Amino acid sequence: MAKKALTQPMYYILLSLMEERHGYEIMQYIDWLTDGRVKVGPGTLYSLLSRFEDDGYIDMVSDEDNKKTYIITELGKGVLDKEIDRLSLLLKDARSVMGGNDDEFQNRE
Amino acid sequence: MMNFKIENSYVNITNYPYIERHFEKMAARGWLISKIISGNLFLYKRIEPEELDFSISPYEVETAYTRKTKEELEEFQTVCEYVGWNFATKSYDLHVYYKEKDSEVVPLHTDEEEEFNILEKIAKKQLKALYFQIPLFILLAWMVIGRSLASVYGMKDGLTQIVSLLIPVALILMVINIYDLRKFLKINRKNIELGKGIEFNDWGFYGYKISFILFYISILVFLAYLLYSAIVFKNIILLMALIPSLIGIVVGSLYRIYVKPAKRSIGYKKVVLVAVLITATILSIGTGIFNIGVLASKDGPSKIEGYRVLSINDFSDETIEDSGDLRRNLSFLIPVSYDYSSYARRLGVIDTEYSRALTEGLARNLVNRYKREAENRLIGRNSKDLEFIFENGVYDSYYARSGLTEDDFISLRDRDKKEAVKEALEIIKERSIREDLDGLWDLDEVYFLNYESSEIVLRIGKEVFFLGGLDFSDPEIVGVVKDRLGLD
Repeated sequence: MAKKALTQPMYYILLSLMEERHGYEIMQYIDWLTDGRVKVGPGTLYSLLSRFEDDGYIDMVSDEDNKKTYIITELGKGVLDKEIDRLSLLLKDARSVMGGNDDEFQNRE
Repeated sequence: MMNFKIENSYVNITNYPYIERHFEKMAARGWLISKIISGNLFLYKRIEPEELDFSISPYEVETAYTRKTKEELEEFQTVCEYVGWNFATKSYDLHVYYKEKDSEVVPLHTDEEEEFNILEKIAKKQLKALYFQIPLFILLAWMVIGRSLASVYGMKDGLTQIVSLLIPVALILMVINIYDLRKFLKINRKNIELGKGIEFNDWGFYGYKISFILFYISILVFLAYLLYSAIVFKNIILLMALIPSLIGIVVGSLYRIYVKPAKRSIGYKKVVLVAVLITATILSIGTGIFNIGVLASKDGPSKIEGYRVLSINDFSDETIEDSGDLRRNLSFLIPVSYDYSSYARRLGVIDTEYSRALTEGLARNLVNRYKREAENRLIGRNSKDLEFIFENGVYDSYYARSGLTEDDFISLRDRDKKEAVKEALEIIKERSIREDLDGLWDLDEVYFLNYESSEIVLRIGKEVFFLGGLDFSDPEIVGVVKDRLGLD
């Protein structure tokens, strides 16, 4: 999974787990962080939490009253950092093209 | 006015969006889905007609082979309800939620790739189970349908015939299911790779519906047969045969409650599965669960009045205590049949098997089955011994009772051993299973089934009798039997 780009819900769930959070809190946090632009449904959320836990990207820190709390692991942070780097490069390339800085390509002969 | 409604339908991971729309239509008509049994029996409760949105969410439930626990499912359900989805019911790994139409609620699944990941996992699990079940069903089909087509018992026993109908339906359902799941996975792996959405289908919907109707009819007939057999025939064998299943269900449920297999490793679960299969096999064979004939109803000699069976007393001047054993049966092909074994100490056993077939053709078929089974008995009884005597080159006078004379033996002993045994068996069969050419019985069909004439099968129209335990070539005995069985 690490070789593949993270999907939007994956990215925001890992990001939201930089601090300990439980399921519903993660959904609310993502909604707040993205001004409602990104919504993560409970089906998607719990499927990803379970997969992330199996892959070692997150750890469960507590389990009280049917409410599991998770936090990102070092491995998960590494995956998230890579994704942020990838997204930065995408942004840089886009800015370069939109800012007309691709003259070098046009004049490469 | 009925407050509930039952519908035969079908929901699985390949068609659930179609079922969501169906539930919406039903709610608009005043029916809210409240329970789904075995994926196809939908139970609705009456509500005020309402415009509702339904969403079915795939979420793996706790089984011995998943790591999901009940607590995790509860947390998932709680969060769904927090965001505005009301839980209606579930069918295995599919959870049905609903909300008011057009209310602003975040969808249960917001990422199709992730939704497909769950579906793929569930589909693989279902395929594994089907691949495991299919060889077992084929083995069962071979045993049950084979018996139904070839044996005497298979023709008389209704249960064998019902199960013979049930197995092909179950196999067809399994094959449709495998095809459906594999097709779904193939199409959608490609779709997801190309960034397209999940493609659902309802191509097999009517096939499933018809198969399920046939399946449930067979189950109802099966249960009716069990009850009829237990109440009318006082035959508790069939009910007793359900005991292993009941033990399995009870032990399995206790295991799930106390051992919590969901929290154990896959290796542990595999070891437990193998151990359970071995224990079940050993227990079934060890406790003689396949041979529980002793539990059949024992109506005794007083109950044979009105039945066309022979008793030890029919051949004795004085009244003897007859510890008889009467068993009744019914099937589609042989609507009336019963067996009676009349037994008295020192006098031995006299067997009567009476059958009244549906048609004369079936009665002829039954006679052929008796002959074929007699043939098989002769082969089974004599093959090894014949190999032995031809190997040693010494005749045993015991074989005179089977129809093989010393002269036959001498003429065969110089041949190749296998060929000699084969030839000797042919002689035994020919001299044992023979027609009543002297017209002693004067019925539609009469065959002696052994050389000593102590077994015979008789047919008169649709009625077939198998008799054993007397010399049925003795005119005096023939007279008594014909009189007692009303064959004149």
